[in-house]
Amino acid sequence: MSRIPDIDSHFLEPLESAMLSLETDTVPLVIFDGAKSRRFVDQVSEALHTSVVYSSQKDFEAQFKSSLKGEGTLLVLIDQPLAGKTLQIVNGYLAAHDVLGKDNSQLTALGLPVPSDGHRAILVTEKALFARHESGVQRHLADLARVIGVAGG
Amino acid sequence: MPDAGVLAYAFSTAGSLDPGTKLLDVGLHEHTPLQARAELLQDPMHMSVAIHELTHFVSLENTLGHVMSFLAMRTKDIAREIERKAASGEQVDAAWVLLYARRHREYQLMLEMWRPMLEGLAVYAQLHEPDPEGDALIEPVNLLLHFSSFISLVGIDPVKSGPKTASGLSDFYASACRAIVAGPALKHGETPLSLSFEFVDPEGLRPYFIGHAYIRALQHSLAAKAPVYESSERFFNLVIRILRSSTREMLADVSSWGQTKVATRIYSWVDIVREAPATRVQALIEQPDSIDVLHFLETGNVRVGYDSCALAATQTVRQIAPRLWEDFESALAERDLPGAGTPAERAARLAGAWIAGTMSLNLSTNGVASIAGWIPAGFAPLHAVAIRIDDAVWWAAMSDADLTRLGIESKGLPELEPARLLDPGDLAATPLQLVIDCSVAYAPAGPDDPVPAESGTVSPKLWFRLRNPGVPDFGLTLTIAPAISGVAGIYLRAPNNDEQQLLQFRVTADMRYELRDAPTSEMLAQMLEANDQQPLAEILREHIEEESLATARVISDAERRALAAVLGREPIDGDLDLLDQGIGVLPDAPIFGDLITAAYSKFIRIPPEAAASVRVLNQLAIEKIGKPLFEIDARNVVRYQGIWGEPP
Repeated sequence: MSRIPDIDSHFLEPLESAMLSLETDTVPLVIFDGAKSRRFVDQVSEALHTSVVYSSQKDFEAQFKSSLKGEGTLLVLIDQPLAGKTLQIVNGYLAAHDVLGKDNSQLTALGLPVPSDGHRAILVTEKALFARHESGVQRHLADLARVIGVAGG
Repeated sequence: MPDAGVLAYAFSTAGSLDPGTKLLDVGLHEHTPLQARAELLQDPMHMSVAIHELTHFVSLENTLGHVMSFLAMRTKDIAREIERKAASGEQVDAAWVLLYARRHREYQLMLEMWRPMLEGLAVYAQLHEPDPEGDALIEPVNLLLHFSSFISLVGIDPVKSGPKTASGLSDFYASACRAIVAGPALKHGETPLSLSFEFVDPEGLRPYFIGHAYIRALQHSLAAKAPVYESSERFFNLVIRILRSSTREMLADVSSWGQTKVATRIYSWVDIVREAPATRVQALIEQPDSIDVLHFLETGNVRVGYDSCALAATQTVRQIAPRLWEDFESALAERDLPGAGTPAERAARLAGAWIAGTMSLNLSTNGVASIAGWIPAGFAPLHAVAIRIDDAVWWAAMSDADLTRLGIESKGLPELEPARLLDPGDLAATPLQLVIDCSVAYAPAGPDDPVPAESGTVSPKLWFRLRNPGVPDFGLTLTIAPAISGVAGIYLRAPNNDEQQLLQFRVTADMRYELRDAPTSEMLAQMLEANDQQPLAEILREHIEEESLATARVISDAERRALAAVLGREPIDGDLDLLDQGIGVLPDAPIFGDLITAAYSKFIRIPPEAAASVRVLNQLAIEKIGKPLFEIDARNVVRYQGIWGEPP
């Protein structure tokens, strides 16, 4: 049996923020600046039993589509500036979890299913990579997701 | 092409090793051991492929390999049971289908997680710069040398064995070295091997490219702190030692082999070395083999990483995969099997036999071995049977019962003079033909055997299996017996009272082939459909699809972890193009193809104008990937270092 994983102390606060966000059905966007994002991913994915998918994966759409049917949590590692279909999918998912009014139409228009009630996603990226997005994309992501910064460590 | 469950040689269809059963295919089927040896000696490509696949075998002689083979055994055993029920029209239990799907998924995830590491090491074995003057051999070459030297000596009069000994060892070693030195330039199709995977062409070479870069980066970081690891052989054997001594810990405490933390453990070795004090790296060479290398490098603390006795290997598998073990015990309890013992005892016995069984490697199979005659009681009380193998005569000690079981009528055989044992001359073959297989095996240590202190490997042994195609279900297992002074040269005989070693062959040999050829998931789904069990077939197909997605995630994670280690940073954005194109991300790189191949593992001097071009390319590489592709000094001596070198 796997034991309960240890979480580094400096990850506890961002993790708590992320959990709160998940409970309120908003999408956390965890942005790392100088901290080891990989360690966070290892620990959180084990603690929450999440699947982990990279935004640069060629089958990102298939991975996302499959995940939406289930009730688990998907950890999306943004390792390339979001663009094209990948950006549309992430935007569609954020719209479907918009606290000001859930809108599933974007996902449906992309041929993706409406997320099941229990489905959750956490977006994770590095500050330097986040900064490479166009400012409009940055603003949009920051507006619709709950941004959680993790520095140092 | 072999299915995704095997470590296949992707450059061509020339070789594969199934990690589950450790069955090897390097194109030496229908070969006698002598033909196999001659083939390897003559054909550098064949030798190179053999070294690649034997590296896989050696890389899996540890906890990783034991867990993998046990998991494969259970998965394929369940597949066979589903197949049997479906074929006989019985209703298949849905729980079995789900259990099969879970086990198959875990096996596949484990394999894909480790694939870059295992393929990278196998490629390294093919392409490194050997040191013929050094005192170390890489283990796959060591195995092949054992094979060659013993094969050369069978049947030889000890008094006249000098030239054969020299030939069996030195000729073969020279040939192996030539194949390795030629490795970067060996062509697969139209392209040299080194360029195939440096440019990731075809796409299937991704794990080879990134895995090999990871292994080279590991060597780079080790040699920077302990120059002894500039020796390819020393470095290679240290990696094998890490796999032996550190995998128990790497596999422990995980709920799935596909977890990201497993990828981090496997592909963080370079970081561990980079962060370790040089004194720790230098201390490794003096330590006993069993010390957990990675733990020592990380903490400076010494602890034992493995126990080489067979019983300990089984217990380790049980600790690492408790749920797998429990369902194995449950399955045994449900079966009405002969023999005594509780399900737990039976499970331990069977798993132990299986693990020991997979410690042998089939090198050549189905070679023609013709009976040439016999000397009654020539090896009193056993008979000496002369077997013609190509242009040699080998002698085997057999009992009357052995002869009978092999379907040999001794009365019809030419009776030979005892003097023939030392000097068989040109004995003619009779029409009675057997076939002979040859395996090389590590004997598992028994509970009372001393644990090797300096090396985790014991000298490998050769095993032979004689079969009569007309008598199915029996094979006579033989091993090499020492020469009898003044009477006979080295000959073959059944091992004496060594039940554990016999288990390796008699009990598990057929089982390995049977399990290797077990139906695939898709075949099982089709069988279920054909047996009017569509709902189960649909459930299985859903799991196949889910497994395919999970496997893709693991592949992505493993590749990115390896790339992170090589680059020394989290790969983002443009870095990821390296996985698709290799050094093809540099538009000018193809122009340097010949130089890459020539300077792949060694320094060469190049003309000034070529050196100027290399410096320009290096500058472009630094801009694009942060490091130069070639080491080059003021005298224009260059060596290719791909993406694994240090930043300037």
